[in-house]
Amino acid sequence: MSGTTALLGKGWRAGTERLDAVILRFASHKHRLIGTALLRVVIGFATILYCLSDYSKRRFLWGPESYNSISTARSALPRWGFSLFLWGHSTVWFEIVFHAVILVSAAFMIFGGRVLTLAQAVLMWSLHNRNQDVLEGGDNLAQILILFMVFTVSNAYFAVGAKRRRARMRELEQPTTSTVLHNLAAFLIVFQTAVLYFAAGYWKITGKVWQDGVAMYYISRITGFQMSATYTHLMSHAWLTTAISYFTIFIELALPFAILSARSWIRKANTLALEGMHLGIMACMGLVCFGLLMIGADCTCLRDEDYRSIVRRYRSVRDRLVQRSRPLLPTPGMTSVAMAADRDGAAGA
Amino acid sequence: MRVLPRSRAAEDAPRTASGALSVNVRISALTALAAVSVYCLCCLVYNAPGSPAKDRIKGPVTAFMEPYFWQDWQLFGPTPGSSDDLIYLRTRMKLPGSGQVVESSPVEIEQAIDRSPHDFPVNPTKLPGVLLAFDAAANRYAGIAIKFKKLPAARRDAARKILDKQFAPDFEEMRRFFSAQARTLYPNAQIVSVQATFKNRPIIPFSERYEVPRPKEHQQGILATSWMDYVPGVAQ
Repeated sequence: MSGTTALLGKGWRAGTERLDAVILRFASHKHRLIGTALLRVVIGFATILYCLSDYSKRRFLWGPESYNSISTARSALPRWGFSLFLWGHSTVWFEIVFHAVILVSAAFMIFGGRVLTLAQAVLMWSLHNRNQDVLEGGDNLAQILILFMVFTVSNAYFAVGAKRRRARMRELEQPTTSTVLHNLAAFLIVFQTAVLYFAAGYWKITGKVWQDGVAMYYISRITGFQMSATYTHLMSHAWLTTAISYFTIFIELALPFAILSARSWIRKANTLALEGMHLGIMACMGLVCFGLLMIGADCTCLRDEDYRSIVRRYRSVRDRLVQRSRPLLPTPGMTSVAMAADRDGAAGA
Repeated sequence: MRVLPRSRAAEDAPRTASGALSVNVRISALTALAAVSVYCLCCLVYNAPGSPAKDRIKGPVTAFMEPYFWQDWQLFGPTPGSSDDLIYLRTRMKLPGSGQVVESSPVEIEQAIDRSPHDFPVNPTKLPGVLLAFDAAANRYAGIAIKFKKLPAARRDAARKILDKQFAPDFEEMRRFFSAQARTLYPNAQIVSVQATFKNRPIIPFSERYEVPRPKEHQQGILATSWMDYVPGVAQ
């Protein structure tokens, strides 16, 4: 009897220790700070672009005298849905809220922080719910990710005071609830992005035109998504359209596995390929805000170490190029070490 | 040479032992972990393709996910359209002197709006999205209405009424949008009503793209709305 109790006690201790280890991993160090910061910048910038794209037509698309009347927009709201634009019928109210979206997005992009994230979430949801006809798909993902971002520290990089904030984070020794929430929210952002890509890849692979490899040909022929004649012409090429169609499916289906991979080059290659795809969508199909939001989401798929290794690689390539070009551009009295220290503001080893 | 650390993770590795976990952190972490697990499970089920297994748990999962986590990623893996959409707008106007009502000939408005992103490709207008939504609504309406032909005549009218009620917000949007378009087309006219006809023009199939002579692209009618009263005062 005492043996069973001891065994149970041992099992319980082992279980709690393992659980503690998991919690400690989530509670002691904030992960994916660079990815979430990039996502913050991109969401803010894309929202500003979204508003400015039809700034002169804003009253027609979102105003009280819009073709999409307030009563129609209200009937299209989902249960528990809201939009600050629908709270008033006056043009003044509309102008205040519309310009608040632009200003808050800019502040969110520059400063970040939980309060601004919450404000951005409310205003972005309001804008999207005011007129759902002009949404592009990336908005759906941004609406979900911004809710998770409320729990993250999204201003540890690329924000005013980011360096100070990082120094303070390093000083903090003990595990905190804030760190747990940040890490779990960052995990949810990556998880949601992975689900999106896997679902998108799945729906593509089950479609006849994608299987035939001619999907890109048909997409390039639709007037609304035809931004360049060269792109339309290139997509008539059998090999090229098939290669792009299959490559798109491959990188989308591969993303969840790449994120889980221990090899960083797989994650980086997959993410860069997706970002390239979205740059192509922005340039060739004219879906600029959509492409930007998706690039922002892609950025969260890389770990902080991945970004650091990319920066290291970039710097070493740059230094090599500088060294090679040195004989052509002599700098008398200055060694390469001194030049590097001067540029980086850091002492060399 | 400046030496950068291989990884900042090593520098910032957990410096605390498991004993340092306070009760507060432990409880909040466990609660958050449970909530995250529920979200992940629901998200996977919500996005899974239709199946008898999914049907059994769809109700509670949908209740959890909607409206704030509503998502439809089928949009990201679409079967691309095999046709280009066209909208023909007709307008009835009163002549200034006699008050006689005249009807304009149909004017195709969609292709010009679809090309409007070319005006500023760096940050293109979202206006084509409006017509895309109208086309989708027209196709949905026509798809359902066509099935009514199989119904007995007595039930057909009742079914049509229900359908019209369902699509009333869509047609109200169209009425206001086309009123603004008619005002742009005929700025000084006294407009009475507007009417739109939705058509599509098939894209030349991939296998016929280099055929000479070029295959003809025949337009097909989708839906013709009834005459809708002009709405003044819609922002331009």
